[in-house]
Amino acid sequence: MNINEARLSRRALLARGTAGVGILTAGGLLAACGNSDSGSTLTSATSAAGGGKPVPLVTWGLPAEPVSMDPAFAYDFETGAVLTNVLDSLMRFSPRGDLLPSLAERVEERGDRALVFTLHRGVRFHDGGELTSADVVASLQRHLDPALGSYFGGYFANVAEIRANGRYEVEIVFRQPDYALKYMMATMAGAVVSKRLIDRAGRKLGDPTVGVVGTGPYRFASWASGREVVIERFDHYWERSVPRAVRRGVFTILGDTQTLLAALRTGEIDGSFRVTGRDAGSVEQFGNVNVLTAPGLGYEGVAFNMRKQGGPFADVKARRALLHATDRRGVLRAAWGGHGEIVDALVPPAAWSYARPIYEAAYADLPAGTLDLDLARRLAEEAGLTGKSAQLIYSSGNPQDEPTALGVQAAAASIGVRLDVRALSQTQFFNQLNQGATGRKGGDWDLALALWAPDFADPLTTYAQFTSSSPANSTGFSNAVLDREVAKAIGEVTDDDARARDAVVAQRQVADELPTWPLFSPATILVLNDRLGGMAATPLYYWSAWLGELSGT
Amino acid sequence: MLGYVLRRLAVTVLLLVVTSFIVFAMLHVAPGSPLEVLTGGRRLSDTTLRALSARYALDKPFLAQYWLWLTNVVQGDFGESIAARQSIGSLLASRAPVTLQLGVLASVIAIVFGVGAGTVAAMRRGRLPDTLISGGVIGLAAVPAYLSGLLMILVFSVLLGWFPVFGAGEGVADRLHHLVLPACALGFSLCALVARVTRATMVDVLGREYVEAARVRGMSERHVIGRHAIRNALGPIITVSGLAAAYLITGTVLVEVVFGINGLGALLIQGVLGKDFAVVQAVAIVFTSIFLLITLLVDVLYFAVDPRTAVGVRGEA
Repeated sequence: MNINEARLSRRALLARGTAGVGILTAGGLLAACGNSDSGSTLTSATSAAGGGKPVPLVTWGLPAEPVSMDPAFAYDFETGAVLTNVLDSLMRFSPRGDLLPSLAERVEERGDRALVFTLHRGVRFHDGGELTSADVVASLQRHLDPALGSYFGGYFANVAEIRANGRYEVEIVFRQPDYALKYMMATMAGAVVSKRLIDRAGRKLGDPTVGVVGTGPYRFASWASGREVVIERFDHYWERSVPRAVRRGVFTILGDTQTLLAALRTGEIDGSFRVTGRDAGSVEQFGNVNVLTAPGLGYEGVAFNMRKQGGPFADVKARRALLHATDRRGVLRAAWGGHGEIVDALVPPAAWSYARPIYEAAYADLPAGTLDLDLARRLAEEAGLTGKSAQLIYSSGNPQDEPTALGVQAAAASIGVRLDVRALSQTQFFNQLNQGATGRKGGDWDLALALWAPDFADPLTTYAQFTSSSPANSTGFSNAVLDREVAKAIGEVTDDDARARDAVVAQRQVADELPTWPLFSPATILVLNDRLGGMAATPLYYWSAWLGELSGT
Repeated sequence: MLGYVLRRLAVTVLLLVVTSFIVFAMLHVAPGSPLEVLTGGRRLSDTTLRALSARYALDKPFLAQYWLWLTNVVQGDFGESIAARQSIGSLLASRAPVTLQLGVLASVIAIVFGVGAGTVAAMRRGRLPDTLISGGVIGLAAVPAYLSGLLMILVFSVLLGWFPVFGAGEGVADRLHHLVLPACALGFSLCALVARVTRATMVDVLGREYVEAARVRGMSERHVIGRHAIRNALGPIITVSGLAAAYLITGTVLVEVVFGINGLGALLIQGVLGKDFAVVQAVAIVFTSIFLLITLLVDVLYFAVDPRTAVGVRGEA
């Protein structure tokens, strides 16, 4: 089976959490009373200092309800943000995205077809039981069960066997080499749930009445459906170095953006990961809330439908013309409050968690997408683009997409192209983009606004979506060089540099052919009441046990 | 009377079935499938998709799906929510109380203020209080509840800090504290209707001979209004109040979202956005039942207040 078969991405999920939000915003009501000049602040810190003081209660705002407390379904921002505090995974990510051991005290590669994890001893579950290899095997094997339908199932496509070697060792054997699973062991795909609970709860595992039992710094306390999830500090946590100054975490579900902002302002909510770049400016004006940012790992970009034969953007010159005509800095300001970076590759530098020199050198060599109207007009003319019209679609679930779409539309107009802009509901959008994933008709689009973030700090997963066999390849891009290099890179399990050298060739193909080009890389935004600190903004918050880092200032 | 009520109940059940079918059919025709929402645009392997389809009976034809749902509901099983992965019965049970409380509180506000304002306006007909009240309630009715809700949050929660921004609170006092703003936002939107009907009816009644007669006999104005006028005006007022209550209890959807109250309305929105057929169905059925039940209650009450209508009822039965 091809590695890309069913590989999942966070692209869809970026949109997901706001799906319930878009319906009711009375545009900038709070901004109006806060006298904010949004869109000019780029000076935010990346972390607020914690004073180490104990905090009895932290109330956190979630724009949508977690899906489940079952890690197999923890593949969206809300579920992840709660559950990572309750469940430890075999590995973990540093705030910068480096891969570190967690429940496994070490991981060893045996050739390129086996991963061996040696577990910490004396780790306790929330119910008092000791963590053993049986728990790990039972937890990981759930992802292999098609009847369960784990959202991470695709990442286990190349796994032949998961077995225990004694009480504290677990071995994963691969059918063919696959570098990604090791990284995914730091996500909820590598989360360990007590085997006793797995056996007892069956399909009820993770639902509000059952919850979940893990080894994390906090234990599941309650889940009032539709209202809140409560977690409480676990007193026998194995990792002593985590401060855990917060005793209780209450995750409140607040579907309306304006209500969430109002609650931040009154202090009823202590923080949120899901304030948009556009709202960050008004939040800074509140006075009692800090806005922290960190470079993101993904991109907001313009994707082209390469399947559409003879369309106006079939020629790469046409795609490049639009790039040079677009005021990307202006779009970033309007769409994400200026919080982010203008980049020349789909993968921003923040995602180079290994082989940095190789990625850095290759990046410096990429063609720059600078705003150059003369060049854009010349290219448009050569491509026969002038005077044509095309359709741009975006998901109305993404609040930043509307100003972005208008920016691209203006750019197109400046080179004589008429863009019809269409906002689609999230479902319709993906249906169009994926050309009818579940057998429905779709694919009648020329350009689409694509929001994408990889599951971990790594360029390869992003470029792997452009292989001709990838189900995530919405553009229909097909390039033999890229296909070959990506396949080679995925098999480079032990040699990071070799993998990076393959990945940058794939990156070059995408930068030259432009099936998609980046508008900007949106920064990760964390808002935090000023009574709290100790936590850094990190793009991978949904895979990190962050609540234990917070403390009172 | 009993026959009338029974017949009304039979019609209610029939209406429920028809409503559920229409809702089911409309969800089916709308673009997208629950699976697409469930997977959030991700591509799952075919095996996984097939397993999911089978679990939620999505692989069956439309009518078979509907029949399966109907037979289960008759046995008290509303099925399982695809998005929330839990039984809908428990979802409904945990969310219904707050919606009912909010609806009842809003109805009380609409009726008390509406009847009060309408009565005062009728007594001071054509004078300044009448103009102020009539204009005021229409102004309130012109603002949609979710907008007035946001404005109330802004003024009373953020600027003045009198009320919490969101949530439903625990315990009686706290719950009331949390529900005052949303109930006002909701109730004021229907104040105008109640006030207008009350005013018109009262104006009519106050012009009748028996009111004049009561006045001529030297009865106090309080006595005239309280014992003679209001009682006779009660019929239309009960009708409009009942309709207002039915509308308010089932119309909490937007206000619940704005105030972060997770009742049936918020559940309905989630269900619609997630194409969670079974959830939308269940909430639609609950709302329809409440609506029909209240209108039934109003008819019975109308009869109790004004026995003259019993003739018509008997005649029908």
